[in-house]
Amino acid sequence: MTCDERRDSVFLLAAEELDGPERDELRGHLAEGCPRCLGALAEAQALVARLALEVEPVAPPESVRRALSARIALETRLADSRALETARGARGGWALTALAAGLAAVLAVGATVLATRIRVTRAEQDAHTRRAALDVIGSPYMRAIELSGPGLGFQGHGHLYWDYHSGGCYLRVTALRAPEAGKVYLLWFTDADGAPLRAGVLELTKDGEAQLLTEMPRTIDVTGQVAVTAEADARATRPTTDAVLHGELEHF
Amino acid sequence: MAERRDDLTLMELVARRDASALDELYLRHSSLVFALCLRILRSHAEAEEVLQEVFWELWRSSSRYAAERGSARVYLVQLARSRSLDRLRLRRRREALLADAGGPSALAAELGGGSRVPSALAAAVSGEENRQVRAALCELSETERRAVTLSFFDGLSHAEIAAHLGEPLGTVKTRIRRALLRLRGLLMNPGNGDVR
Repeated sequence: MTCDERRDSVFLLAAEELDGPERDELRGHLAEGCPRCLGALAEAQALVARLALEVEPVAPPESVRRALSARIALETRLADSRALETARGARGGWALTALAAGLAAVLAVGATVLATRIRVTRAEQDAHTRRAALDVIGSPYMRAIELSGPGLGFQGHGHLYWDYHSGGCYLRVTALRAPEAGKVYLLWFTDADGAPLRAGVLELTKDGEAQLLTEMPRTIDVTGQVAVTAEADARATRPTTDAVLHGELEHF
Repeated sequence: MAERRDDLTLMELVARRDASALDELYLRHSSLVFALCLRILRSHAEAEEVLQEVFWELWRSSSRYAAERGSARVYLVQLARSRSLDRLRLRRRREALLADAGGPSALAAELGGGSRVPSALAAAVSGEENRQVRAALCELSETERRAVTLSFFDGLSHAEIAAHLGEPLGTVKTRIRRALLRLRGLLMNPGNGDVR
C-alpha cells in the first residue's frame, strides 16, 4: 500500500474511526517513522480538532481558574515538603555517621547544634504541611469524612479532608495505637475498578497522632472506600490486613 | 502594554514550570475547551472538572507536547475531547450498572429522546467564527450528521449508534467513515459541496 492510498486511513485514525487490522497496519507504518504519513497525521489531527469548532466558546466560571492555581500552588508546596524531608533524612544520616565516629570528641556542643538543626528542619516542614493542609481545609470545594475503627473499643479516629478541585488531600489521625513491631500504617483509596490505590505512609507520633498530605489519585472512585491498614511492607501495592480505620467517600 | 506571547513560547515556558504562562494559555483557550467539554458532557459540574484536568495535565506533562504535531489549541482540544469522552463512558458504565440493579438509566432515557441530537446541533450552529465547520456539517445528510455527532461528540460506540438508529452495524460504520471523509474534503476545500 502506498502513502497516497493510506491518506483516508490516516484521517480516520486521527478521528479514532479506524480499527482492526487496518489500524494495526497503519500504526506499524507510522511507527517506522514515515515522514509523509506522520505529516498527514498531524494535518488530520488538526482537522479533526477543527470539528470541535462547531461549538461556540463558553466562558468557564472564574472558580475553575482559581482552583487550578491553588492546585499548582499545592503541588509546589508538596514538592518543597518532599525536598525538606529528603534534606532531613540526609542530615539524619550524617548525624549517625558523626555519632559513630567518636563519641568522646563530639561532646555536648556538637549534639546541641545537630539537635537544633533537626528541630529547625522539622519545624520548616511542619509549617509547609500546615499551610498546605489549610489550603485544603479552607477550600470551598473541600469535603470531609470521618474514619473510624471497625468495632467497639477499637482505638483511633481520623478525618480526611479532600479538596476535589485542587486534588489536595489531608488526613489527620488521633488516638491510634502504634502498629505491631515491624509494621507501618498505610492509607488506601479505591479506583474506579475497585482496585486499591496506595496513598501514603502514616508516621505515627508517640502520642498516637499522624497527618498525611497527599494528592487524591485521578483514578479515584468517588464513591469508593478509604482505609488505613498496618502493613509489614511499606511499599505494599495492596492491603494484606483488615482496616484499622475505615470510611466511605460516598458519605461526602 | 505587555507583549502578547505566542502559544509555542507559552508552552515552552509551561514546560519550565512557569505558572503565569499556563494562566495565559488558560485565559486564551479555556472558553473553547470548556465549550467542548460542555458539549460532550452536558453537565456544567463535570465540564468544569474536565477543564481543570485538561490544563492540569498540560502543566504536569507539557513535555509530551510536540509542536510539529499541531498547535497548542489543537493539542488542548484533542485532550479535552479525549478526557470528556473518558468521563462520559465512565458515567455510562455506572448508569448501566445502576440500570442492571433496577435503578434509573439516564443513558436509556437519553437515547430514547430522538430530538436531542438535532436540537443540540441547532444550538451549536450559531456564531460567525465557526461558520465553516457548521457549513460543512450542514452539507452532510441528516443521517450522516446524526451518526457523526453521536460518534464524535457523544462518544457512542458503533454498536450503540447502530442500536440507537436501528440500522446494521456495517451500515453505520460505513456511513460514519464516509461522512468524516466528506467533512475533511469540505473543510480543506470550502465552497465545494461535492468534495469527497
